Amino acid sequence: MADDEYLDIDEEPDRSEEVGTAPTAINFGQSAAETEGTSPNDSDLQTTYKALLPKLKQADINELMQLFMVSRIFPDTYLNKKFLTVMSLKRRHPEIPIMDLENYVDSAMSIGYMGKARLEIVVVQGRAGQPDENSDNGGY
Amino acid sequence: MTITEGYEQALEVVVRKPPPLHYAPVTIVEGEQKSGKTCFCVTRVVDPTFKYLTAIKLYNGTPEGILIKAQPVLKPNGYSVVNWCKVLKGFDYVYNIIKEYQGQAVADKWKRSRDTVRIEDKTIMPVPPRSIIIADAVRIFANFHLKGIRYRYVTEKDIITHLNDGTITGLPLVKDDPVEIAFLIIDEAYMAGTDRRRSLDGMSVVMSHLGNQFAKRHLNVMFALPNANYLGFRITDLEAEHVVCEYDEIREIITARIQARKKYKTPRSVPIQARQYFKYYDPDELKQMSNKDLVSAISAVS
Repeated sequence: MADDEYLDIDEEPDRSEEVGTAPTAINFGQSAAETEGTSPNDSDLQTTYKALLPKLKQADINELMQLFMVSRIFPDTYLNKKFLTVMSLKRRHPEIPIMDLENYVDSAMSIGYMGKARLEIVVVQGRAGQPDENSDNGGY
Repeated sequence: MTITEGYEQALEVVVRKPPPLHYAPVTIVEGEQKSGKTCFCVTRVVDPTFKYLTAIKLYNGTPEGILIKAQPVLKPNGYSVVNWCKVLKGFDYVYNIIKEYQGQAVADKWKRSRDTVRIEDKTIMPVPPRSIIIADAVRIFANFHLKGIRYRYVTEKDIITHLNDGTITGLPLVKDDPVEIAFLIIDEAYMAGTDRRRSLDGMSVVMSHLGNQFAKRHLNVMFALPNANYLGFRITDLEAEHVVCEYDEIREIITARIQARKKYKTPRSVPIQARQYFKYYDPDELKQMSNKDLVSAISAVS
């Protein structure tokens, strides 16, 4: 087997045809590049944010819930707001059980109750920016 | 030379120039003996070769082989499937060539490995035995021997000899050269003029000067050695990515702890399935020691 051949290819490489796609039903195993690229290792801050501000699968509900989490929800409007939101979501997504919607909205609104989540984010971000005096390199 | 002549020279465009790199992609791979350092370096060049696959050289008993065009097999997320390819001429064409030059048994074994996964598409197949994979966009220099993949074997002498003629580079060499990504793997780097104890040798001086031009030469460089402390600080200063390898022989998994400062901040532990890369190199390949060292050692003994 010759190892150092840099010959010209007799046929011009054709890129006009579709590139072969692997059948999705078959598990081919992962290459090293794929393992590294899809590694779920986040930074500590990203992991904290994911736990603090969970995401929902449904894109439109998620958009609304993310707003609830970082908004200021006042105690006197809490129940009315929750009721109206659940009813409007139920009309938009009749396939989702009413109790699931109730839980989604209640969880998101309780995270943002009185603007508590805003304060938590500020606290976490501030803690991350401060250098650790005990470590040798000043936390960097 | 008049001003007009200089202006005309500046307008000349010789070859296509890719955009400059914004950092020198130098990787230092360390780990004890048999911890998968070389295998890690091999994964770094085999994966892009499969991604940019353009042709396959089938075995026919001669170095020229039979060149056929091929394409990569990509997953929906864009990553390539290692050891699989798409040959437009079809399965039977390749099967007949293998049967003719390597025998019925080899061809049937190859056919069975494809049949076990039951793929409908007749053009998607495992890489044929004893074939060489060719990717036009990938250029590989290595100071050890790779198998089944197109590359250029370079010793330290070759590197030094060709430093000034522009061949040790990731830039296009001629017009319409399709190269996009280039690698230089230096295995057993403590023997390749980067040793800390010999920082005043002529070889070390040249290697440290070369080290500061890796970004200009568009080379992805990998130094593999047991301990990064053996390297001189002029080489360790270049490091953009640090990898520590560890091998689990029961699961055949290399755990690479990667710290890539230019890509992501926190270190990443990547489990690599090593079995699929074993056939691309010889794990027991010995690197020859320099005659000068041996002579001085013998003279010290006697």
